[in-house]
Amino acid sequence: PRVQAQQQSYQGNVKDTDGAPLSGVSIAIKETSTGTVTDGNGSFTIQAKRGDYLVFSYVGYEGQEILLGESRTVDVVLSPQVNLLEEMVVVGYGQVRKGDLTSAISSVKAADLVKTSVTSLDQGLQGRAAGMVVTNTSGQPGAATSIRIRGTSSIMGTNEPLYVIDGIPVIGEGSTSTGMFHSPALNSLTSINPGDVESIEILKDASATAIYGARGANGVILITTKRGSSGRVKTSFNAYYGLQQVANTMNMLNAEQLAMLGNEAADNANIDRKLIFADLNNLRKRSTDWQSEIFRIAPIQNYELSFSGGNDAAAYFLSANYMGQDGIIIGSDFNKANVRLNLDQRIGSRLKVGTSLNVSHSSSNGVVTNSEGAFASSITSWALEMNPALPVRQADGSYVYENNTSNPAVGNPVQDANEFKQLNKTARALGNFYADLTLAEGLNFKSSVGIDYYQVKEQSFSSKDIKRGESNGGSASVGTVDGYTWLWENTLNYNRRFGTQHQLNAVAGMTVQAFEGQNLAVANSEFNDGRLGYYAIQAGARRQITNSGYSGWQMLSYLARANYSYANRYLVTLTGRVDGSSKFGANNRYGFFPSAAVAWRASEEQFLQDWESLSDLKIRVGYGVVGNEGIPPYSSQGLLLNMEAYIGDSEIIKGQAPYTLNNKELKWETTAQFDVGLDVGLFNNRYSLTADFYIKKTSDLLLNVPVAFHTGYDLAMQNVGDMENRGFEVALNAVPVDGNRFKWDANLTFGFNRNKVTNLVGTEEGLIGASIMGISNWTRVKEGTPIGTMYGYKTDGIAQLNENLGEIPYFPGRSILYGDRKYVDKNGDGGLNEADLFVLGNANPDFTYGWNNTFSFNLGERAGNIHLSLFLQGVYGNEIANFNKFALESFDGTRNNTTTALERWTPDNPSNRYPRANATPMAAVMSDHQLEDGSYLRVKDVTLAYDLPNTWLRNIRSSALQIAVGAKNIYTFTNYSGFDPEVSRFGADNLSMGADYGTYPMPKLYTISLKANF
Amino acid sequence: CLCTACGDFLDEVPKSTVTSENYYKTREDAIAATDAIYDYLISGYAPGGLWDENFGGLFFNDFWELPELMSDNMTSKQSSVDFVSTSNFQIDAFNSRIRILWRDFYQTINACNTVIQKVPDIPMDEVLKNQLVAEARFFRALCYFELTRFFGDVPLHTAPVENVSAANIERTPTDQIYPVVLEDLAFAEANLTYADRLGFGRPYARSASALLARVYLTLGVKQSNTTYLTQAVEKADLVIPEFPLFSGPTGYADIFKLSNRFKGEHIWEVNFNATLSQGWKGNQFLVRLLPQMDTGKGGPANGQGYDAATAALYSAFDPMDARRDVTLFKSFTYSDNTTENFSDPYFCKYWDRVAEPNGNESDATYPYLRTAEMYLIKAEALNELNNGPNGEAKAALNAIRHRAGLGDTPAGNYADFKKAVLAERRLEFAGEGHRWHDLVRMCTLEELSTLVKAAKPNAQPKAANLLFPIPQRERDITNGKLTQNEGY
Repeated sequence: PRVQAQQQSYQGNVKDTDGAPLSGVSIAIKETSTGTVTDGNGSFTIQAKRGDYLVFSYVGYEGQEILLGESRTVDVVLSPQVNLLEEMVVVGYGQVRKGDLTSAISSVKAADLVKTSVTSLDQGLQGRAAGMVVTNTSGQPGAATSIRIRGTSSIMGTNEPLYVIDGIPVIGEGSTSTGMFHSPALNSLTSINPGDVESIEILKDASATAIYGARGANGVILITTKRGSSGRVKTSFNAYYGLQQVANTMNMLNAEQLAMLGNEAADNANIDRKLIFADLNNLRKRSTDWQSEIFRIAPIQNYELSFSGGNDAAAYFLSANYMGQDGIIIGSDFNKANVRLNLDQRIGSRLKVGTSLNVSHSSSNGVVTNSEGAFASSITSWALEMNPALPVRQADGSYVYENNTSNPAVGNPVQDANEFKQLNKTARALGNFYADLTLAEGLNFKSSVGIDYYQVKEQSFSSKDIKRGESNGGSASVGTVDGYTWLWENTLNYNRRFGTQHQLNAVAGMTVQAFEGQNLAVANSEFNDGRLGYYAIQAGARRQITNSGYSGWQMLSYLARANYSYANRYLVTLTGRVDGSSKFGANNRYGFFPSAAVAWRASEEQFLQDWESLSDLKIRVGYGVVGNEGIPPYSSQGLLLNMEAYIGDSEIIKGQAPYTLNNKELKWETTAQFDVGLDVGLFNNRYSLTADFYIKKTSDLLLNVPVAFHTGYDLAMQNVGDMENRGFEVALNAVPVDGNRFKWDANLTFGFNRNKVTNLVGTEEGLIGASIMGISNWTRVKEGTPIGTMYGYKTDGIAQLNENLGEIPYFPGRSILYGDRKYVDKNGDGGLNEADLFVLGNANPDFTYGWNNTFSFNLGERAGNIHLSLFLQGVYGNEIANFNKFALESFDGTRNNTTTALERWTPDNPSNRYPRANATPMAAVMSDHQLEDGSYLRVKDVTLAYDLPNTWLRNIRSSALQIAVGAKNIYTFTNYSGFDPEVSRFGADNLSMGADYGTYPMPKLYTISLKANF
Repeated sequence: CLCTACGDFLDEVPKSTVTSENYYKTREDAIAATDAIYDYLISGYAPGGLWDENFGGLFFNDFWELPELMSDNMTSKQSSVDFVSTSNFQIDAFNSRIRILWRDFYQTINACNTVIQKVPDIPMDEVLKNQLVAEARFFRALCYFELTRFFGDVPLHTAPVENVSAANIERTPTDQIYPVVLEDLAFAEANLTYADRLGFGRPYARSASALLARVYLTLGVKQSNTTYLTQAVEKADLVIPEFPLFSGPTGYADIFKLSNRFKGEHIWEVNFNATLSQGWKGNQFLVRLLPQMDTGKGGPANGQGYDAATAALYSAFDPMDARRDVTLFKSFTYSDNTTENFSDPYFCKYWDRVAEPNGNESDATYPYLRTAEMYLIKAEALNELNNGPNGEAKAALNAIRHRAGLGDTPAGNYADFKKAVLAERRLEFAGEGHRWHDLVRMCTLEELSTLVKAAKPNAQPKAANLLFPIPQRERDITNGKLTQNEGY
């Protein structure tokens, strides 16, 4: 007989994804009229039978069906309904519905941002937004990134986007260096805990950025931090612990191989062999791996705790974060802590006030990298160049002092890492206060005051007993910079619907902002007693630097924007900003930056209503003019330089001489940008695509134009020149599989940008980048070519024994011998000089991409969920100028070389790629041998996460608990021969992109993490 | 209200630097503007600091080094194409050292022009005012005269540049530059009178006279102009009594003793001072010229041996010539009495081993004008004027020879005497930056080639090498407005 299941009592609890109980959720037994609702604690009780389905539904949340089984307890978590088009998107000075957007904006979800255990939030943006290229310029803990949104639009001015954190445009990178640090610049965004971030919006086109006027040309990144909401207190604890390791090491010669190379080099140069290379038998037994001596497996740990909650009138978000990271090179680390408090309070029915406060402190020990020159050379270069025949320490325990092969000498990298002290301490406070008054329905007045204050202290000390301190008897330096910006903004917001078809959203306002910064630096040398280091700089005998300086700027601006939509179909946005900036010439203080955009939501049209699978179709067109004022203050003024000379044996005289030209016409760079975009959503936005095509034309480039030396000046700051960026970007989001048990989320970003300098008036020879090893012509910015273009000689094989040396074109004053590298004589004049340089490549990638996949497995009520995410990221088509090769393939016996030296030319091994050994080689020249393809595809992140089942969580009163293991940068597909293809010796310097020398390699990282909500 | 404040609010006030608009108002401003010129002579403006390729002022290296390299005196031991090609007479317009030399001249000129234009309007003591302008005009004349020797026709600026459009000029023929040089020097000669600002690195009135002697000789020989040659002799005669030669057996060595800075025959020197600048603005004579030695055994530090003397220069000295071992050394004996022999002779004349045993950055001055040159100018000019050496000419040449411990010159006719003066100048001024200019002035191309090839078989002197090329950067930036010297 059929057994009729018994009615019994089931009880349970319904929460949202943050763990807050949901009251009023309706629960029905499927195919019956029986039902109930949850109480104030989210709890319910219902009489049902085993085998029944319970249907949970709640406005704004995804419904859920649960099959009743043996367990009498049914706990359910409801996810908010994702209606992409109803989501609010933060824009400058306001918010708009995503469906109403007329401009190109990428949003990055907070969850994605923190997924890859990043030190600073900009690192988390890599590969997440189409059209934005994020480059980690160094693997040093806490190092800065370089960000380009839609290409490079300035040459001398900044190209970094404007960061606006909770409404405050913050001070950028450049002003936070004291110049007393021999390591890559640290990242000023480390002061913000990525875990505090609610959302990040990247404003890309002129329609979106025009509201930031003279600072909008490089795009704007809006960062919104988390705020409290009414309800139960939510507690969240996140932690991870990880181990980092160098991803890749170089293959170097062993002691015997180096000795043989050195001997051959001496023979080929007709000089005496070095004594140290004499005893091959003994050398065979010695082999120090200098790379493994400086690299280590280094821990990283991060803890964050936050509380949020509130009632009808007040809400708060409170968090604290600590991160500690040891670098993969001994002697380097980065530690930071920050505390945030965000408060909102209603006063009466019309007034709301609030604050966002963030205080942070970081301290970082650095080792010297990305640097060259006698006493500034990079520790990684030293580790590669050291003779493997030398031990780290002598038999008596003291350090081996220096390399015994080279000149200028290379010091012991282990001693340097341990004994050369370099410390950066940065404190930063960022806070704002706002009051928002409702004047009438839909009309609000908001006034806010913001402050951004930082202080950076950088100090270094090298004792006279280490190589780095040798030439000056030990040296110490202490530098500080502090800066302070204040901001006062007043805006009126009007948001109203007229009738059923007209919607207007308008904002108008004015803002004032000012910055003041000061710097102070002292340096001393000749320290007989190094015990006190930089804490007692007066102990040195010889003053080297005493400097103080000041800089300040002010801006006064007026802004307005109106969004109008008709019938949800036809959208128009008009924006304008007037910016006055003190940085510009007296005759050009104010600029006007307008933009207009229209969009058509075709999917709302009647004739497409029958196409059910189409959930969104929108076409956007925008045009606008924005500016870039990112140059140092006082650039428009004729400045005098403080000079010093001597009379007789005792008199010091101080002079003042002109060194910059006055230019009262100086103004911002102007970028006119046209954007056409398409948004498509299919199957209730399960598949969505956003594609944009843009043309950015920048004119009045702020250029420190080289002027004829006979004027007495090198350079003059002028508005000359034009540059163009054209590009195409696509973001694709898809949920290819969406089952109860398994879900696959995928998103893909792709960006393609082409840059061209279309006009460089009066700078025929172009603008030259930084020089390394005496090579300054490897890159230059010239009219008609893209920025980042790299130049060099084309190699033409190696001079072989059957050739006539007299016929081979060569450098003036130099003669070529068999086994030397040949170069192409471009102009056929029989000799080689700068006229024979070729365009060899470009530092900018042809395209960049990111591909994120999340696979979620629902193992059921009792077993929890598993998420596997895989994030790939890459760039394609850029070149890297690998300056390391000049040292590592020197073949001169003065330093250790990579194993490519084993393939060197000899009469018996007539290589056509690697030259002969030669102890007295010619000075280095850049060629296509040193320029390498920098394309890479990186497995950026793999994470396996496990959500503990609700049945467990109840026991510990937790609403969500996840443990995960992850691996970052675990593998990189590339043909690049250096440590890592993601590199930039000169950071974000536009004139010197794509160089690699003495870099701090990127680590790979394995983590285990815990996320718990209560 | 914000709006009333707008005008002021956006005003930009650079608190840590002065600007050209609010400067040049007081006596102190006038002095500081003039004193700035002296820094351009030694270290100048290098925004990138010590590692800036532009580090170093007008007299730091290139001024004296290039004319020695491009001659039979000095050879480059560096791997850089810039120096090697100079040494081999294969320079081209891309040579960075030549570019920087050009730049250093014009930076100095702009600082001079600023003083010459701005100071006269400042209300102050007239004697001091004229002194300051005279100092600036002395250095402007020096720069333009030397520029014409190095480059021929060059752009002429006689007012400070205030706008980039000033770059838009062509090369001025040397014939139009010389009058400016002569007028400036005449002004300097008449107005360098403010007692507190004479000597010790600043020019005297007679420093202007001495430079005039050099200019008159150069123009006189070049243009076969007897008036100029006569004036050269007159100016030399004015200077000689006021700056007596160091004499006696150690006379020549005494010139380079640090204790003799600003004394005796030093008519005008560049005051490099490692001591007062705490190491930053010493000269690089020792770094560049001394070979690498063992510092552990008492050898000087940081000798890079960038330049060596030619064997021909060493052997050009009579073994009895007191100047040889002051000027050059081929070996060094360490504190443990071991001796290191060098592969080439190196210049040691700037190394005062007693005062600066450790070498490195040095307090040695650069001897731009000294009395020995006045004697030899006189000898050369009189030989030209009289088509042969008269007694006075011989006496002038012999005065220099006698101090070196040599006997009277055997040269008796015009040609022999001219050669004798050239040879004497070579020995007297080796390493001081005269040689290429002397060869260009006193030799035909064939004679120059013969001399150079005797010292450097691989060198290939050409007619073009009588001038340096105009730096390619200048020509590119001005869109070819500046023509190139023939042969480059």
